[in-house]
Amino acid sequence: MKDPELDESIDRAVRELMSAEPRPGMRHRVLARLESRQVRWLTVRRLAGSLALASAVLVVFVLAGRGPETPPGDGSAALRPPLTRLEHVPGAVVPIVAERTMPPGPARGTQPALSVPDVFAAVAPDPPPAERVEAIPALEPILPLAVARLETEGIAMREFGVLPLTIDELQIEPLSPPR
Amino acid sequence: MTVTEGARCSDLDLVRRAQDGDTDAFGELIDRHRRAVFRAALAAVRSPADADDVAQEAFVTAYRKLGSFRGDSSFKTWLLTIAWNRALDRRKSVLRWLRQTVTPHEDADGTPRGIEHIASGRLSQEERLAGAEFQQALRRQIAALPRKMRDALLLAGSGEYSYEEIGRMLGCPVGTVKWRVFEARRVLKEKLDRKLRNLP
Repeated sequence: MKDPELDESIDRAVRELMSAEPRPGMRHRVLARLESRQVRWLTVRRLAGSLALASAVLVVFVLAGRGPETPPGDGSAALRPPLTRLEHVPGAVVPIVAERTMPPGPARGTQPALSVPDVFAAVAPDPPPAERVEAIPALEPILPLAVARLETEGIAMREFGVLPLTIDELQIEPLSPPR
Repeated sequence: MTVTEGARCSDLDLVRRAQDGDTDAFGELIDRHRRAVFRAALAAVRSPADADDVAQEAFVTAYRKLGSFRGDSSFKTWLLTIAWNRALDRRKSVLRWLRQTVTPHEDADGTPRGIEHIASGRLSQEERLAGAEFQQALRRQIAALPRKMRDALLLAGSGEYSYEEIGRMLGCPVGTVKWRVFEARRVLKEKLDRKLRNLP
């Protein structure tokens, strides 16, 4: 076969290989693909927005729930002063005043026992300031403390006796010869 | 604007309109260049079904990247470059799939039988009658060419693209494209000549 014939054969084979046509309706297929892509993108964006909003709300709730530490119980307890301030509570004044005046009663070092009404009164919320002023009873006069007089008796001192020390003689053994 | 009016516009006008969100203008661009895009893909993947899919992907990609088109080159060249790159991606994946699924049977001349089968599927009845054996040998030799030579030969032989456009697609100068086409022809003629001499 001559060279031009070979060239012709090659051209024909290449043309044949490249002679296929695209399927009809490519325009519609591409535009439909673009549209579906846009719809998918919009859906993803909406979903992402919803998720972001939901997570933001969740974070706000979590942060709001943390707040300062509160003791267990109802919310009003958190606003109440601790029990160390019982002297400000009208119902709890009596036993503390009794302790200050030191009347003959319970021995020193023992805490005065709080009765159940007193405890309820201590836990109850503070009344308004005006009521509180009226509720404080007048203090009883403070009695002078009676101190017993010291008795000074002579202390009998016994004499010390010191015995002389006896020292035994030291005995030193001769060293054994080296082996 | 209707499609008929759009057909009178230049590619650049249609691109500007498509950039403004006019999908009809982009549809007109698809109609104008679908064959060129399809054949560029066909030269790379060699399967019409795959080429059609690649062409669609190329148009979708072009639409998404339309904002980056500055008009430095023609829209067709820009589009063909996108299509060629998509086709190369597809070719790599197809080859990988072939390697994994098809046992690599080869003819004596090293042509993979899978590729030969694809090529011989497009033989017309007339060609078979005119010299089926020779045509088959020719197709096998084209398929067995080194990729760079085969790509240049198929793109140039399709008559769809200028050498400049092929150079842009392949990413090489026009002179290199011409040399590859020439070299592909020379190798083919050499092998065919040897084959013809062995034939009874």
